[in-house]
Amino acid sequence: MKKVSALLLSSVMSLSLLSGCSSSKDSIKVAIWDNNQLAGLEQIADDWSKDSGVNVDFEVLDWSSYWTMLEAGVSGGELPDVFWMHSAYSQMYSDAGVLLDMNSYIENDDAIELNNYYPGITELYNSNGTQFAMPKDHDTIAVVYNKAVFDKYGVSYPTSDWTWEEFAQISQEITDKGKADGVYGTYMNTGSNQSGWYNIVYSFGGSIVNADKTKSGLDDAASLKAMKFVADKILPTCPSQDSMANTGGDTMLVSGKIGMYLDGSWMANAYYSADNKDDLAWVEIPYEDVNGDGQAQKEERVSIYNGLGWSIYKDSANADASWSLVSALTSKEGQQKQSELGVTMAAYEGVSEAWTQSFEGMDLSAFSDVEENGTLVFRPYTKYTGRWEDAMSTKLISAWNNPSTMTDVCKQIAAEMNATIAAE
Amino acid sequence: MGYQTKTRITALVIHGILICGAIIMMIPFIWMVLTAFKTRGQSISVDPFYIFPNGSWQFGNFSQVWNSYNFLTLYFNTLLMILLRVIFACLTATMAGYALGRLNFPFKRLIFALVLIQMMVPSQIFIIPQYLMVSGLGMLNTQFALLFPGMVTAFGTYLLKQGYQTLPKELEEAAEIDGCNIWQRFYKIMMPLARSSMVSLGIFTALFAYKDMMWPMIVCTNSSATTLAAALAKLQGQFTSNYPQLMAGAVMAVIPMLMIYLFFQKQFVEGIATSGGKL
Amino acid sequence: MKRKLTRKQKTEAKWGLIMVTPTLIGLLVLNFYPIVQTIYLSLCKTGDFGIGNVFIGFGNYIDAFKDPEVFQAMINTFKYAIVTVPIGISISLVLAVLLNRKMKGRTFYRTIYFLPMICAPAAVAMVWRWMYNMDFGLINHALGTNTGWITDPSVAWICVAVVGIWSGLGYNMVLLLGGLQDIPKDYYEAATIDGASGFHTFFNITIPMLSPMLFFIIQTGIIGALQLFDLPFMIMDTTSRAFSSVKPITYLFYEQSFIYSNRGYGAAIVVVMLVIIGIITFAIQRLEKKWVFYN
Repeated sequence: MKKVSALLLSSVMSLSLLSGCSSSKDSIKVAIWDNNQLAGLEQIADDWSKDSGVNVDFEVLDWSSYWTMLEAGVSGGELPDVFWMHSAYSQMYSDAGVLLDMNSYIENDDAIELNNYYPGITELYNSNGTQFAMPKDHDTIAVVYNKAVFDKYGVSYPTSDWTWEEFAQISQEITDKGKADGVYGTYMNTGSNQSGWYNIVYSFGGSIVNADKTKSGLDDAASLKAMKFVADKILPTCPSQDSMANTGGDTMLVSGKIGMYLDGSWMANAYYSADNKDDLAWVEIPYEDVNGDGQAQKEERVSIYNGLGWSIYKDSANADASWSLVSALTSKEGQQKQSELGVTMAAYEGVSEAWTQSFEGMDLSAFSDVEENGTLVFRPYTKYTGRWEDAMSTKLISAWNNPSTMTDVCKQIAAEMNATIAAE
Repeated sequence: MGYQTKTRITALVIHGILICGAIIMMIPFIWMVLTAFKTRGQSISVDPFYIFPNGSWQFGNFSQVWNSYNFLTLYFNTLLMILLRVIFACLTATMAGYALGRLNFPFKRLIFALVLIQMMVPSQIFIIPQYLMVSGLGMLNTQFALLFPGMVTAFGTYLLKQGYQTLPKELEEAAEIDGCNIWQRFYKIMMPLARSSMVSLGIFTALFAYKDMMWPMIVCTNSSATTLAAALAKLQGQFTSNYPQLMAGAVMAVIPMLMIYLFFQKQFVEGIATSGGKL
Repeated sequence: MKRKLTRKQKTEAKWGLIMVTPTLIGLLVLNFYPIVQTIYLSLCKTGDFGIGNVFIGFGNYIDAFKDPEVFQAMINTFKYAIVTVPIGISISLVLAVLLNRKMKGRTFYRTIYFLPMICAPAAVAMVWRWMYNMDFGLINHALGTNTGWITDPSVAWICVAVVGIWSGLGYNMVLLLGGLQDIPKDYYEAATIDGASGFHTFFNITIPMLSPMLFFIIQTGIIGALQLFDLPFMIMDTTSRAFSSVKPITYLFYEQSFIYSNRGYGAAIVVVMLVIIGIITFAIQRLEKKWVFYN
């Protein structure tokens, strides 16, 4: 018995030494958090490796471990060579001075011209003239509906020429007819912000944060009007707030509990992999006829958009190779490939069409049409977005359960947001 | 009522209670296994009792999860980490537990207070400082990194201190009269007697190591150096909630642990039960 | 009143220190250095990533005492501990005593009760969340109800406690079984010869002999319950009406430190909590002398 355990122990020790060898110098470590995108990105990186002879190692972490890993890495002075950046954290990381200043690389690289990207994303990853991340992708919002539900209650499918008022009417109709089955028109929870009521606020002409990011816009007259519309017209056609806090809108839609739902382009893949994907279709986000001329003006149809960035660690031993990889991923050609492979829409303007057709049998042009006949508004952010955004969706719970208090609650939230933003 | 009928009724009642409890304990687990065999649509079906209409068990979930990670490496890494942590925890804690439970020495109360304080602090505060130590040693992505926070255990020290205190005084006194020194008394007499506490410690160390998700995820970012729990968490991805596949992954991660537990239960827990009677 | 140590006492002290050293060094390096650092941070207004910290004294503590969220989270945490610890331990004690005998299916029962312990926590939480679901969940379907188990503040905290008890039963049970098996059998034999009833034996032999282990479980159980971290968060959505009434203090610390990058404030919260747990722990330690029977 003793011999066995001694043997075991020594073999364990030698094995643990073996596994201690570190990765070779000629490879670039890339960290991301979305497993769905891994296969496509690896394909682009493989093509790049063939030309450059440098290997790329991808690591996928889940969202919270990703940021803990980066945070630990900043304190420990060891980060992956290349990694994703997000609006919730970008200012913190750029202020900490750990991200590579890309200006000179961009200047010397013929494949990159910043004007070709969606301005909100380029601007997000730029601090006082220093570009600290290259735009990776962008996402927009559209309405997904379950045809089976519409057919069952004899409601005609929505078309892109619809106002928020019409959206609410259709939703009401399904709710009325589906009462016996417990089916509702739509779904909008307090946390459905980027893919929910933010869009309504901006299409009504309101805002969440003012233009110079110094004040909340939620107490503007237009914002309050939009939120009152949500309270009076949208919420009565949704499942109870309790029910929404139990189950996500995507699950409700796919299972036929609701008729339609606002969702982001990043979810397209999830709907596409549903068993009943043939029942699901996308239509452009509605507009608000602010000036009452009966037509959709560009600024009346708003989709919030957001985009990730590719950052490089300032002290990376392979900074030049890392840039070359980022350049390959964000050049027109790389963005085109990312779009064709169905990874995401591109951050490069005008090459996202391929993405909308990359899911055979599911037309996703609703996501790109809004860019033609609507306005993209960048997802509102300040330095510590998380601090007020979480508080906002918690505070709104009471208004959702008690829609008549919506205006007062929004005013309260605006006051608190102002205090939080002032403290930044 | 005869003595025999009485014991039989008692046995029946006991079995009744235990079976009811067992069913309650099992439901979530059965649910997990069944979900692993469903399609995504079935898993969010309105009727939760809707189970496999055409007898179509979805084994595909398992093969998909199996293919997306190198499970053999994950099993190996996890087992190795568990083994190392168990060995270290048992070695250090059995000595410290004996000293704190049985011996008198200066600063004993202070040292025991330190043990308690460690247990009172939420482990989240240790992650970043410990990461910095490992990265300072240049040991990221190694087995050493996985072992690192488990080299000593406050929990185990406390557990074994209590275990040693339960043991009767007379045995040690007899050994002392026979001329055994402290180390001999500890090594030859007391340590074997505290075996069941040590087995408990081994099982719990193994379990905590197995469940530890955040640490392996952060220090072993290479998929060839990471563990089951960390890989499971990655499986969740950010935007998807594919329950059947997640459950398939969870089932596959549980199986080796279940085997280890059954092995330990038979080999040790019951072995002690019979040898304990001889005292 | 300084007495000279006898030689025997000296050897004992020497061996005691030698045997405790590996653990002591490990604890100092791995755990105490971070604790001291945390206490320092709690007195600072922290910059991002721990860069540019400014010493501000007790400012964070004053904020924490004024913050109703901190107060609410404390109450939530204590409520959870007060419910789960006694119930969980009583059930596992009964189970351990029932299983500590020669009977059919013992291995089977033990394995079943232990199952929750060997499941990854993420999977456990996911299954329960799904079973509690209002519209699709097993429980509402089986009972024919429409209860918002994880959204109604009056039941949600109980539902979290149920999961806590469910997942901890096997842990307590195995420890108690180990303790039961360390009790020398001749004590029971003597009691049987004296004609003591099962009830009598339980309270006069089992409980006192088991008291060190029982005490350990109560102590670690209370500490563990007070450190409740992400279970509520994994079981319910943050937009649940009930979330604010179950959010535990440790989660609040995590949220401030790692999500809102407000490390100083997070550190202050954790230190306040540490002091409270410390007071409770040392109070319990004092009671140990009274309650616990050591051989």
